[in-house]
Amino acid sequence: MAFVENIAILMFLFLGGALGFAAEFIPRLFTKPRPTPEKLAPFESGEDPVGTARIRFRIQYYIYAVAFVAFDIVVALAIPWAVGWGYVYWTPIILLLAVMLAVVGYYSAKGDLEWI
Amino acid sequence: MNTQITLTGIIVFIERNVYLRFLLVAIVAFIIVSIGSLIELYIERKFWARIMSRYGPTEVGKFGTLQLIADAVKFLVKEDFSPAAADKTIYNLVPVFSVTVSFASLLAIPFDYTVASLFPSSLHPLTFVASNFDPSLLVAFGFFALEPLIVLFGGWAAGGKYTLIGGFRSAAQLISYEIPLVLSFLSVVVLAQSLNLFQIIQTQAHSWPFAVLAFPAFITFTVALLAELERTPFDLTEADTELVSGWNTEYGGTKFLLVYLSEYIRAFAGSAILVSLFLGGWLGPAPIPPLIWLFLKTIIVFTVLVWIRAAYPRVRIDQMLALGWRILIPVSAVWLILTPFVAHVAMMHGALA
Repeated sequence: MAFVENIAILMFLFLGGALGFAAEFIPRLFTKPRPTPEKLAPFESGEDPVGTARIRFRIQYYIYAVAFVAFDIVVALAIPWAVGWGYVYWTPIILLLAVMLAVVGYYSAKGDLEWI
Repeated sequence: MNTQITLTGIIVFIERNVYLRFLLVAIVAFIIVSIGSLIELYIERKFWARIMSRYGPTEVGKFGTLQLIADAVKFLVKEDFSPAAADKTIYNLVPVFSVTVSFASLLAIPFDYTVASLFPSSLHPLTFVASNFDPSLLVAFGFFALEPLIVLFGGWAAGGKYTLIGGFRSAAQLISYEIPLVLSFLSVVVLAQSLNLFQIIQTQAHSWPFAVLAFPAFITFTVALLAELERTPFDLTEADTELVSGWNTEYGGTKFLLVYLSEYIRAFAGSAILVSLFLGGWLGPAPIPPLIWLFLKTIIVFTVLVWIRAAYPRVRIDQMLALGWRILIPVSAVWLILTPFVAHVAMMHGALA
């Protein structure tokens, strides 16, 4: 990847960011906020909100996140092999993917991928 | 002194300056994706309605075509406010980040090449094109995969219970389907031996479409893409009956407009990446300009996504996660290892260059 492509990425980010920023903040100059307590309350199907939004949530999201991080590294290591499979040994990547599948199988069998 | 300004002169001036050139490329991509999003929104409403024996929008404009403009005006003139419980800075910046990141993922899609080939005398394809660089697929996917972060930030910062639950659901779904998505597009990378989307399309000019050569990967990629775009049957993140609208419940006015727009930009980019990877991108039999082919194929893929949305009910969250982890990941991983053998056989029979 040459230096020139970095300019292209920067230009895409610049244009997207500038248009997004303009679309969000320019109309504010023409509208007058008239806040009321009801308007600023979080939406809870028309009821008065109960407590804060910082509620406890399922620990299972954490399990999936950890599994994702571990497997994503395996997948990232498969990318160079996919480009140059004609020039490199296949043993490491087959072993890595096999280990990943074994871990998915173990997770499944143990019931950690079940949504309780 | 010759001070006459001609169109060719302007184009030559722009082509000599690398910043202006790539800004022009970005503007071209923006125009294309804007037209694409408008068409998508119209298809989403009208085609979906017709499948369900409804009419969809009919009142504003001929066949309801101006309904989108009316909606945009309504969003733009609405009052702007942030909920009292929200983390104001993050809450207000998330729509901008969302649209920026979605737009940047269009970088790799060779719309600029197809536009340049419409004007062969003035725009030189090799200097005008920004999408033809080596890991373009990786860069596009990198921007595509930033969405879980944005969704989590948005859901957390808005300060509602529905948005928080919707944000966590979205993040769980997006990360679960990212692994099969990467594993499926890697089998196309194996066939083309390149991470450059431009070269992947060019390889398909001399071979069968990769949708045929890598058929299981095509199926797993399509399912994973549906989940990544959070479209029905995988729209549990926006399950209206449970979560109102998911992580973007608290957004209104222009902020909601940006979130909504970035969703459709993502749908457009995702369909265009699917078309480029598996269905030959700008290639087509008839003497129609490549731009029309690429655009038309993208819109057709999006129409199929709308069709799926109309035809299938929403899956439950345990079904969705089980499909991702127990079926898509094993199938795409095993197929990835088998793909080099397929490539070898296809090369022997002339189906792959």
